[in-house]
Formats: sequence, structure tokens, C-alpha cells
Amino acid sequence: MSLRVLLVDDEEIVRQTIGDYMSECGYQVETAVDGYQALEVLQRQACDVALIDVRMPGMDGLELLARARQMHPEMSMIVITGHGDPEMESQAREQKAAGFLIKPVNLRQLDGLLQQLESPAHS
Amino acid sequence: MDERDDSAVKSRRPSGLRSFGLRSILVRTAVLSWVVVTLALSVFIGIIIPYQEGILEGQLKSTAEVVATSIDQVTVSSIVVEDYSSVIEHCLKVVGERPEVLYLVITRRGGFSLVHRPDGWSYQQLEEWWQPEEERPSGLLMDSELVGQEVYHFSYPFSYSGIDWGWIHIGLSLAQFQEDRRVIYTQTIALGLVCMLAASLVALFFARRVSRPIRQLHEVTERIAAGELEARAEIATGDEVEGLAASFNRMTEALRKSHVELEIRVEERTAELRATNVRLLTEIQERQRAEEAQQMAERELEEQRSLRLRSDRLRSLGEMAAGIAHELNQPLVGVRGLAEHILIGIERGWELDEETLQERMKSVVEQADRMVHIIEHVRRFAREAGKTKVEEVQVNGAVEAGLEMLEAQFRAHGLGLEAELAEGLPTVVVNAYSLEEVVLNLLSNARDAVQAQRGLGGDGFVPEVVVRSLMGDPGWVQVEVEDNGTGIPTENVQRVFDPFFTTKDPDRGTGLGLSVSRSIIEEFGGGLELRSEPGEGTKATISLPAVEQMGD
Repeated sequence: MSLRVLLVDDEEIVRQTIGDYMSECGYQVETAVDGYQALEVLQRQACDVALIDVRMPGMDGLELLARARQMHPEMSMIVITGHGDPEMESQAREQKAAGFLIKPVNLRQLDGLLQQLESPAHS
Repeated sequence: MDERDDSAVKSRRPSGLRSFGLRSILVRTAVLSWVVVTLALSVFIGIIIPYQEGILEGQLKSTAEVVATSIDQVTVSSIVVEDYSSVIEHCLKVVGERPEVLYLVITRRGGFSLVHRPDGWSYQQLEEWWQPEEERPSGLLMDSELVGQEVYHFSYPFSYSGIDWGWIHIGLSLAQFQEDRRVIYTQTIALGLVCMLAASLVALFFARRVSRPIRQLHEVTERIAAGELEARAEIATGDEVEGLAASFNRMTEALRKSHVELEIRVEERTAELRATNVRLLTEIQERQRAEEAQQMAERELEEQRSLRLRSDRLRSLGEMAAGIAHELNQPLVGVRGLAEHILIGIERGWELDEETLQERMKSVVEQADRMVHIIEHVRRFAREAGKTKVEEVQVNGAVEAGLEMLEAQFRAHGLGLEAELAEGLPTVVVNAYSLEEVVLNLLSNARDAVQAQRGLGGDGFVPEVVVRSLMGDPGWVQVEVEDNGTGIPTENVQRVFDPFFTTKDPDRGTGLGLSVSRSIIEEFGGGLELRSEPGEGTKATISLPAVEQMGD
């Protein structure tokens, strides 16, 4: 069974490109425009992986990460940050994120991260 | 003379004494003395000559008297008895003995006369002139027709027994008399000349004596006038000139003393002046140095200002670059993602239908276009902002451009950015890019304010910035940038427009933003106002004069 991935980003083009790609790779993809929508999705159904943009209006990515972990402690978190945002990166590391992606996202890197999480060694 | 002296003093000719020529005291005194002596001599001669002549005439008279008396005594009785022969004899004898007797005439009353001359005798009847009324002997000098020359004519009345019988006339030669007189004249004139010569010498000597001390005094005066203040008149004549010289010496001494004092004072004054000069020069130099220092300080300040201004610009640029980076990153995500998706698909041999591929490629181009648009805008912004060129534009264009520039950044920082732009606003005359610069500046301020407020950690705080364009007072278009940030403390509201006033960290702002923004807006004839409530937020309002619309 393929991984269930939640993609949270306020930018449509990001959701579109990365979402489409992951779908084509065979993952089950859910998208959310902000933290609140993401929590709604998670409340309905748990996901294996969450891809979260840290900079979002309203609830930012770190807050979402913390709250999502409370709901689903087993869920892997991948944080997407902009270039030159080391502060966010270190904070995300403290939150024990499974991986980091920098915009513009390298799809092969994303591939690698997802396959790593998918592999039996990890689970 | 006095005038000449004055002019001599005025002309101050130190080279030798001035010569007064004929007007000098020497000449005057000499001439005066000579004239006096000559006058006296003339008077003397005028008196002595007639006197001498009188004596000579007296001699003639006494000779005639002697002759006449002798003839009278000898011949009177013969005449009375008309014994003329004895008379003639005696007379001829007398005439022969005395050569000076030129004629001897015995005239009886009635004119009968016996005339004896050296060359002989005769009877003659003579006119009345020979019978003078004078009853006493008398003589005179006259031209005699009888002998044809000048003679001393002497008439001697003779009488016998109390009866006047006639006259004895004697004519004496003047040869001796004239000789004597000539001698007298010659001697007198010679004496006069000698006396005059002597007088001249004496006068000259005297004049010299008198004028020498005056000349000396004059000389000394000239020397003093020429500056030789030590010169003294040494005159010991024992008269008024000596007194004058003494007074003069005293005066000169006083003059010398005052001159020395004056010179000392002049020297002191000169030294003072020199010192003052030096002081003034020093002061001037100091002032120049101070001015230079001030100018340098001003230049430094100016440099610092321009440096700060530049650093402010750099900061804006940096901020802008960050904004641009954010802004470009978004389409870049699309471009990269879409392209890589296709690439990976091809590699892995995914089935890709035409339609999907076309859609994705279209999307790539759209995203690239968006990037081009952003880059083009930035380029124009960099070129046009700050230029004085103005044009008639819609404020919304500039506001939207500013929003576009910061939108991504705001979103990236999780800050709300709303735009409420009114439609159909009148146009304004501005440099659109400068206006955009102001909007950007106000948006950055708002961003900082809401971020700061979020940093205070209030529960449920949602950072929110709203940009509005609207119609303000009639004739004015307004742009508002409102935030719910920290606000400005009341005491700073008046100062936020001061250049370099800032409450931010040095690396975050120089404080030029609002001051520059206001001057930009004022250049467009508008105004920039701030209303702020500490802890509640700030509203910045740009007011621009609307272009009057035709038919409105």
C-alpha cells in the first residue's frame, strides 16, 4: 500500500506541481491551503507523511507541526522552507522533522525522502 | 620776507641755507647804514660849501674895500676939485699894482665916469645902473659888459664934507676865487667819497655783525627743520638775538624731548599695532582653521549622511531583493517542479498524454512570464524611482505594484496583507515608481510593526496589514496603509518624520524612510500623515491632488 501524503502550502502553484508529481509517483495525496484545513484533514483520516510549508499566514508551519504530532505522533513530518531561512530550519529540527526541502523543491530529493520513509527499515 | 621765511620753512630744504639776495638782512642793514652816512655827509657838504663860498666872497669884498678905501682917501679931494689927472694917475698905479682889479670906475653923480681898465682909461657917461641907491658899500658876482667876463663888482659910495659925490666901482677878477672854489669842491668831494667808502665798509662790517647771529640762528633752524634736533645756536652777542637764541634753544630742547617722547610713543604704538596685527593674523588663521574644521566636519557629516542614505538605500534594496527573491521563488517552484516532473516522467517511461503535457508546458511558460514581469518591473523601478519625471497615473497601479513586490514576503512571513482598492478614482500626477517606493516603505514599516507585535506574544494575534485607495476630501486621492502593529508611542509621533529618527536597531533602519517618503509626496503637491495608537496600530495616509476630470 502506497503512502498517504498531506501537502500543506498556501501557494497554489506549489500544491499543484508537487501534488501532481506525487500522485503520478503513486502516492495518495491530500492538500491543504493552511494549517486549519490541514488539521481538518488529519482529523478525518491519519496520514503517513505531512509536507508542511513553514511560512504561512495564520497558523505557521511549526505550530501546525506541533499540533499534528499531538494528533498523530507516528506521522513523519517533512518541512519545506524558503532559501536562507536557517532559523526556521533549526526550529524545525528541534521539532524532530524527518526531512527538509528548500523551495524551489527538488523533486528527486522529495522522491528520495519519501522512498526512505516508505522503506521497511524505517517503518 | 615773512612769507618767504614761511615758504622756506615749508619747503624744508635741508641742503644748505637759502640765499635771500638783495633782501637779506646783511644787504638791508648795509644799505641803510650807507644811506644814513651818505645823507649826513650830503647835509654836511650842503652846509659847508656855501659857507666856504661865503668866506671866499668875503675875501673878495675885503680886497675891494681895501682898494676902494685907498682910492677914496687918496683921490676924493682931487675929484672934488676935478683934478682928474692925479686921480687917473693914482688909479692907474693901483690897477697896475693889483692885477686882480679888472676895472676901476669912478662915477660922479650925473653919470660922469672915469673908467680904468688894464689896457687904459677913458671918460664915459654911464647909465643909471652905475648910480645905485644903496648908501653902503655892496658887492655882487655878475657878468660885466665892461670886461666881457664874470667879475666881483663892488660899489663904494664916497662923500666929501658930508656931500655924496659919487661911487667908486671896482671889478675884481674871479680867477683866484674860482680856483679856490674849485679846490674846495674837489677837496670836499674827495673827502665825501673817502667818507662814503669808509661808511660803506663800516656799514658792511656793522651789517655783518648784526646779521651773523641771525644767520647762525637761521642755519640752526634749518638744521633742526631737517631733523637734526641736537643742533643748538651758540650766540653770545649779549643782545636780544642772544636772548632769542637762548629761547630758541630752550624751545628746541623741549621739541627734542617731545620728539623723543613721541618717537618712544610711536615705537610703543607701532609695537602694539604689530602685536595686534600678529594677534589678528593668528585669529584669522585660527578662524580659517576653525572654518576649515567646520567645513570638514560638515563634509564629514554630509558624507556620513550620504553614507547613511546610501546604506538606507542599500537596506531598502536588500529588503527589496529579499522581496524579489520571495516573489521570484514562487513561479520558480512552478517552473522547476513542472519541468522536473516531465523530465522524471520521461526517464521513468510514464505515460504522458498530450493534453496534460500541453497544460504543464503552458503553466511553465506562464510562470516564466510572471518572473519576467517581476524582473521587468524591478528594472523599471530601479531606473525610474527618484526621478523628477511625473505623469498622470492611477494610484492603484503603483499600489498594486508595491503590493506585488511584498506579497510573497508577507505570505512567507505569515503576515496578512489585504488590498481594498477603490475603482474609478481620479488620476494623479506623480512619478509612479516614486509613489511605489513610498508605498513599499509604508508596507515595510507596517510589516515591522506587526511582526514586532507578534513578537510580544499576545494570544490569538493575527498580524494584518490593509492597503486602501480611496477618494479623500474633494479633489484629493488617498492611499492608506493600516496595520494592527505596535503603534508609535505618543512622544515619538511628531518625530518620526525627522531625518535619522528611528527606534529600530541600527541594522534595521536609519530613520530616513518616513522623512524621505514625506518629501517625495510633498514634491507631488501632496501630504503624508500618520495616526497611531500605541498597542493598537498605525494608519499612514498619503494624500495626492486629483487631476480635475472633464465633465465631472
